[in-house]
Amino acid sequence: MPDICKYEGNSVLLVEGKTDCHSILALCKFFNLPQTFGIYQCGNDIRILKRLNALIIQPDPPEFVGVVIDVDTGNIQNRWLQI
Amino acid sequence: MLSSLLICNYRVFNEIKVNQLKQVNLFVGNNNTGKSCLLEALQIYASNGAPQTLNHIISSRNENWKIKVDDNDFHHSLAYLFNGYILPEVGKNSIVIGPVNDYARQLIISLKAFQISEDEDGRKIRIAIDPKKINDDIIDVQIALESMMGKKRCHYIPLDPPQFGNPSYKSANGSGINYQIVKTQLISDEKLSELWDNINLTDLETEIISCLKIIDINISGVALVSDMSIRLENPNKRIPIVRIKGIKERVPLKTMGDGLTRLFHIILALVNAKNGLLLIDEFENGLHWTVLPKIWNAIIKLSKRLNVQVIATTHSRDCIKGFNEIWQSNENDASFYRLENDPVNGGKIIAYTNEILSDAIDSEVEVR
Repeated sequence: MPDICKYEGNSVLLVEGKTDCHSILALCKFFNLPQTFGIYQCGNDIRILKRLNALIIQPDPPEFVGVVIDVDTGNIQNRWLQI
Repeated sequence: MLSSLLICNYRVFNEIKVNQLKQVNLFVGNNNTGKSCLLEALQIYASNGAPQTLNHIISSRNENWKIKVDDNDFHHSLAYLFNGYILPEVGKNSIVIGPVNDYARQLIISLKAFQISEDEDGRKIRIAIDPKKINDDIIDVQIALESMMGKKRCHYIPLDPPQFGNPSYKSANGSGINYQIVKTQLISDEKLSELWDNINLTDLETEIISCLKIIDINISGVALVSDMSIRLENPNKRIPIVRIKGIKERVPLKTMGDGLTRLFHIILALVNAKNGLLLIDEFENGLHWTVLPKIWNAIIKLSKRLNVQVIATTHSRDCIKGFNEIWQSNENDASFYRLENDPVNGGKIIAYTNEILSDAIDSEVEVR
């Protein structure tokens, strides 16, 4: 069975950990949001940025990439710059 | 060394640009995106469009086939080199290969019309004529494929009448750049002998043995010897043999496996491309992933020392990983590109930085 938090399709939301993945899935279910995207759990914030960097240049890149990333350390401006 | 590359009107490419080439350059891409075409274009560039090189490229793809016995097969074959696989009109859609915006170093291969005339001493000369002025009233018109570097003619191949066997005018400017190519299949025995004889008993022979040790540390010597078993059929054939520490008998290189044979061919070609260009198609063939970083490391060091620019292609993720490992500590000496199909230009070049390639490998995102 495919890992629900390792989606590699055309519309993908990148998140840090497994808890983030399941929280967002639960929120979608609670608010009856249609399943128009999948979630990819990257492991941590650095890995999100690496995957984002790589996805947008890959052959046949996804059409939509979303990112859910913590800004609990450092300042918000740096985080925007990284993204 | 080529600092950049522009290819126009060559096979699948209407126009592609590589804005920056380094000492060692690796290209990836799906099948039929033009990786081999890119290497061919560089072969043509290095030979200044020599007829022998064009003929070799055409025949290696079976493009010298005939539809009918009376077909003009030379015209027919040359058409495959041009974008759209048709010969362009005279004076139009020339093949251009060379550094971007460096017109003096770009090779232009074009169809031109000439009229055969005589100079004041009665010698026959060719005079280029305006393609718009060609009509039935002008006699002695000769159509020719001409390759020019800057403003100097390098080669001249008359097409009408066709004379491929004894073709060309070759100017002093026709010799081109020293280059070697390692294709997906092994280098022929004859060529291998020629390359070996060029470096036998020189310091470059030591470099080869040192590189072979990457795969087998016990290799202490290489030589090419006659194969007496086939002396009647092929008296000139010689095969590479190796000396291995701890083994009394000399062993044919091929006994040691495909990887060592492939490495021998690559390094032998590299040292023979001194001050020139080395082209390698499907670099990884036969090579185990564990040795790839060491081989890339040796290639970067040796190519810098011998002033060889290396252009290689691969399909292999392991080969890319090995390359990237070495690229990280030699950032200014290497570059990495992906070739893609493009509906307008026929091909598109995607440039990677070392950081992006590392991110793609770490994230297991596809780069090929």
